[in-house]
Amino acid sequence: MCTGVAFADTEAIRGRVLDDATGQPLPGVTVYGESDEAAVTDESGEFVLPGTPLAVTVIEGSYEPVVVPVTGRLEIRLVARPEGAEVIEIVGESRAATPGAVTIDRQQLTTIPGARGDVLSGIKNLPGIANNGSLTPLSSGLIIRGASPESSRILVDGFEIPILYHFLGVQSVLPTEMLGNVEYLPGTFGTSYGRASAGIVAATSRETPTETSAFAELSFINVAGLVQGPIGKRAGYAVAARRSVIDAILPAVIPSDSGLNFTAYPRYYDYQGKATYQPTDRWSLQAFVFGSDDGVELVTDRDNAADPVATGSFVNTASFTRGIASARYRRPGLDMKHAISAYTDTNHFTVGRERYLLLDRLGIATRSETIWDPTGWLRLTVGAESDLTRTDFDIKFTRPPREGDPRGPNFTNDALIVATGAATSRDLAGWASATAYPIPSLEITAGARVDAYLRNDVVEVQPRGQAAFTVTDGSTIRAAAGTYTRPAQNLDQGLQADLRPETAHQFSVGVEQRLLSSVTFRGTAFYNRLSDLIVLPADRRDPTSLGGYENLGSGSVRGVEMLLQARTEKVFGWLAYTGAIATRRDADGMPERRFDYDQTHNLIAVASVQIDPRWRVGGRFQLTTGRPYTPVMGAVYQSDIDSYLPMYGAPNSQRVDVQHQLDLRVDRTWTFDRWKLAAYLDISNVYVNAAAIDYQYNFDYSQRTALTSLPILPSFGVRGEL
Amino acid sequence: MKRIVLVFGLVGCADVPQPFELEHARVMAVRTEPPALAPDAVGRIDVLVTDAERGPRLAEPSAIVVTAPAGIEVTQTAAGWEVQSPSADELAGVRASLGFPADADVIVPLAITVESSEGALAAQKTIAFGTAAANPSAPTLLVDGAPMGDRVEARADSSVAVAAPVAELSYRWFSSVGDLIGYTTSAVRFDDPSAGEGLLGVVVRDQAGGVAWMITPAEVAP
Repeated sequence: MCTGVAFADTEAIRGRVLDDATGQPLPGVTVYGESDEAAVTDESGEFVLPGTPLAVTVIEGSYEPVVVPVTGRLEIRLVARPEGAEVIEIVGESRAATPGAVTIDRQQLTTIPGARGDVLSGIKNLPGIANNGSLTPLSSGLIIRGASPESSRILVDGFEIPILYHFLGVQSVLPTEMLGNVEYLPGTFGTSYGRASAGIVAATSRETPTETSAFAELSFINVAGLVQGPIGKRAGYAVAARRSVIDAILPAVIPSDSGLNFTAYPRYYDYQGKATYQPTDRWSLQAFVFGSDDGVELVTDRDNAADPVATGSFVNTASFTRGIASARYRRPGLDMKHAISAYTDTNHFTVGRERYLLLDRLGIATRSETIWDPTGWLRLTVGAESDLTRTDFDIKFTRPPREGDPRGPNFTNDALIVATGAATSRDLAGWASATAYPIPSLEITAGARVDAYLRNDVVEVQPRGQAAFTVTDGSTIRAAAGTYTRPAQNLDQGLQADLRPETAHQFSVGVEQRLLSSVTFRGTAFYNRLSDLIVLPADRRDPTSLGGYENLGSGSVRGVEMLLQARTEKVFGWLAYTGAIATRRDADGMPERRFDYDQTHNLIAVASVQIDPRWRVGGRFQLTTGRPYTPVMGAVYQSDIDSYLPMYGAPNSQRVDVQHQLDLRVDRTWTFDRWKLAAYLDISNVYVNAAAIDYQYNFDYSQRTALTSLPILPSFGVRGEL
Repeated sequence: MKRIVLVFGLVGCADVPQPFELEHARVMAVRTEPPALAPDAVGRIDVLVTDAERGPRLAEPSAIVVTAPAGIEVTQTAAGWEVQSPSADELAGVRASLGFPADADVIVPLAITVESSEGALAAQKTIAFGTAAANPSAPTLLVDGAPMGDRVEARADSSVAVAAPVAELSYRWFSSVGDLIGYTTSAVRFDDPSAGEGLLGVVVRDQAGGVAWMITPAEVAP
């Protein structure tokens, strides 16, 4: 973890380098600028770097490398690299970091118990992200500050990916080894990101290394491999692939009397390839192609009296491929990035013989951003992006569940969407912001983003601003506010062009305080006021409800987030707490209710200890409020259709069980002359607390059974690394 | 573009009452005779219920409420519950008030309450007024392809089917002699080697509210 706030004069950057654990200055450390500039720290850890680079890089043998943006008085704290850790790790602070933003290094995230070595699973342990095990147990997205997964965006090198996790959510679609930084912005983010009314997770692909390396891994989850290395002095490559092994394990664990017969067991694979080339010291080019493919096909011979059409087979195939070509130009005071991306996205779902949802997307997108630092006390950012997507659809399917819906879809009795055709969405955006440092300890950013959702014929101007004030060394206060919108593109809302985007006015304040040399605290309070929420006023059984979405809803999310982090040479850990209330009204005059994703309390404790160069052990405990649900008060038999119509109580007025679980992880490393062998055992839910996460009712709603979280999930893996 | 995510719980309901169990208190069918009434006609309403204490039987509702429109009356007589179809003129007035075409049937929902040994059961049934219609015929059954006698005598792996099934009709089977497979189709198989003696029933529905049923003693040999 590094902290850095800038001080710059017109010709040089001045700063100091410290050991993060001890607070002692580090002499003899080389600090690099953006071209040929470099400086070495003196006995006091001080350095003077010629020029006015946007960022400086510090690579020191036994410490984690860091890249620090130059945004004021510069103090760089280096974290000792744990023995046996991967060599190439870059951790940077986000530009104009907003309250609640967190950047935690990859080595920590991948060794969190329960994350199974997956950095994008590890981020679920940060404040503001809900424990979605209870909210959407099989979800492919993240729930940030009480908002649905569709309200946040997951970006890779600036472009969105349609899903973050493979089937069952046990693994993300991008392996840790292909990622550089992961920037988590739970709200009040800057103008560079848009089309999201909640939060942003922005991952960057990893720079190709200067030395050839490779690994192969086999675990309960998947088999994976990677090869990467340089090509000459100015180019590099990385190639990786993974394939699940869960389809080999499931037959052994599914009960024979389950009534389920898999024609094709759940399986996934993903793949990545990256090439970089640096024609000059100032230009760098890169091409990155990645994608994933998930599939499952099962047959059930059980009758489904409540939904006869759903009897038989379920088939789901989903895949995407994205290619990104980008160019970056950097010289002192100027940083320009231009990228173009093409992608395909396929999602086919069939239920029984008569219900199908076939979506095939093809798109092209561009993104450019320029950061100009003309004076050292003022930095200007301008950017633009475009997205053109064509969706071919062939649909005979019921409407998907709505926010607040007490029940899932009924493929027999619900009104059907029957449509074939193609739709094109065209989104354009531009943004500009200025960051000023009127005094060395104060950073103020103000700007605006304009999003044009041309399919909906809507243009939205969204002002945003952030401020950070360094009170004392190690003590910073932050505040931010802004307007955020997301277009009506989720689920079948995308078929309706007359909807306005959902809007959030977000406000947050936060404090960062170093308590001890190795202990820091972050606290954030936030308030999001929501309007134009898209609702479906009519009942899904009513065929006249088709095309009936309206911007009638409003609501708010307010809460606090706290993160207490500790890190020494051999130990890291944190205590993260989120307390939030997310409520809404589906229309003026309607009663206020909880959002589906409301989670009042979420407490996470993580600790990991490097016992010696060979052994690392860690634990993780999570305690969260159960998800809201709508109780069933009774049911009326519908004689004409031989079905029961449930009578519901107040929407989301009750909650399922409190969720709690303990995860443990043990890592063992063997180091040989030319290679390294590592093994890990990662056990989720050690004390087998199979808490209820939802309820399933019998045919007449007279009794219910609990759908429970996975009682225990052990994962063992071995990995050989050159 | 966001991806549609559909989630299905892959769990069974091992310890809860199944839809085919005759031991579970429930309304099996509501029948009006006839299911659609011409003007001035009178229809009779009865309910097939079952529970663990008394098994399947015809029961007289304790209450029937016409929820809409006004002018339709249901009365309890010595012979049971009856519904009186309005006259042609009155039906024309109802159609006009609802904005229906002149030749459209008027569909009226009835809210029905019937008592069982486990308490009151609630059901809803619609009746069409305008054009008369008839209930379907009670089905006859085949056991392993042969006509049944005065009772179903079957083995644990036998199939029981409706003779001459009709595609436009829906079927719902009930049993007190073990689990059934295919209980929403025109033929079922037993799925319980320990089954003994009990009852087997099937309710037949058409798409216009017509209903009929057949309930017979059954013996299933292991």
